[in-house]
Amino acid sequence: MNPKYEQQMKKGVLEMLVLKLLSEKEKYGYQLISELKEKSGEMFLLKEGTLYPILYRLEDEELVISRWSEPKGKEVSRKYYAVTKKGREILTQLSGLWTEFSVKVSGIMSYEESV
Amino acid sequence: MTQEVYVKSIVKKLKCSAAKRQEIKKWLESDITAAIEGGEPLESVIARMGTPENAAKEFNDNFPPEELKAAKRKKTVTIAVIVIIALAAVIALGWWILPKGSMELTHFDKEEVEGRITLIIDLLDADDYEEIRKYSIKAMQSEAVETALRETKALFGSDWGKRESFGSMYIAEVTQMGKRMVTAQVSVSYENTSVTYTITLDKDLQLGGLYMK
Repeated sequence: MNPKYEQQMKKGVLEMLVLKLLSEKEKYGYQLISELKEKSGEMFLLKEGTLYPILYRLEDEELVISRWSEPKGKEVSRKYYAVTKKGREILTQLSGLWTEFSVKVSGIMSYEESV
Repeated sequence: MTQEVYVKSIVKKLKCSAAKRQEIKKWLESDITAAIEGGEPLESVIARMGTPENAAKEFNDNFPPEELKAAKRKKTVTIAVIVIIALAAVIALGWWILPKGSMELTHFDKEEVEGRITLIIDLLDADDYEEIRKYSIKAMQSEAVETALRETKALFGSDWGKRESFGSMYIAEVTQMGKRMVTAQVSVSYENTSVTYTITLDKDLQLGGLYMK
């Protein structure tokens, strides 16, 4: 299959998945990449170049907020993201839309025309 | 490739604001360090993220169009500013090199200039090169200059005869490459020939150039 189609399909749900992962607790970039990889059975292998612009967009739309951690000792500072109240509301709407979307899409895909 | 070099190579190719570039640099350093601390070797992180070119392309492809437009505009403005500065420098250099003349004397006394020009022509008529040297800049004091002057004079004839008239003197002040000079032109008639002298004096009224026609 042309990887373009797969990429296109995944792209549409990335914002929702990132919001979902962040709704549990605040996380930093690498954590999000690792969790997405693990929880999707390696279907979502997100690169930093894709994730960071998504997080910038979500922050611009005030769906997430960020903070740089105070490093302790030799630790490096990390940029943590957390979902805002507005972000949770959007996530709820997106979850509902996704359920409806997947049902409808599955319905169409499994439909067999009766002769 | 070290982590620092890898991150720098990516950041350099990002098409976004300087502030965002700096933040992404810090972010990448932090996440790569987190990956290494989590047991992923640097080679594996680099393999996952791709070459600096590909990693930067991934960012650029995902930046909003406004961000890319602003970065492009900034680059264009920067190039335009560099071109304008370079052009201005070339024009300034050209202006500095080109001689700029004025008939109005602001740094020289007209009578003093006329006196010195007349003296030099008198000395030339008398073939008194020893004395001319005293009123010349260092470069004009050599034997070669004296030889050249003798040869040039000979081109006008071996016997010029007595001086008959001294024409009007035209004087102009000239500035070139930061140096101030004064140039005078005067036609002198002799019994057997006539010569137009163009004589240049430096700021101390020392002979710096002589042209005979």
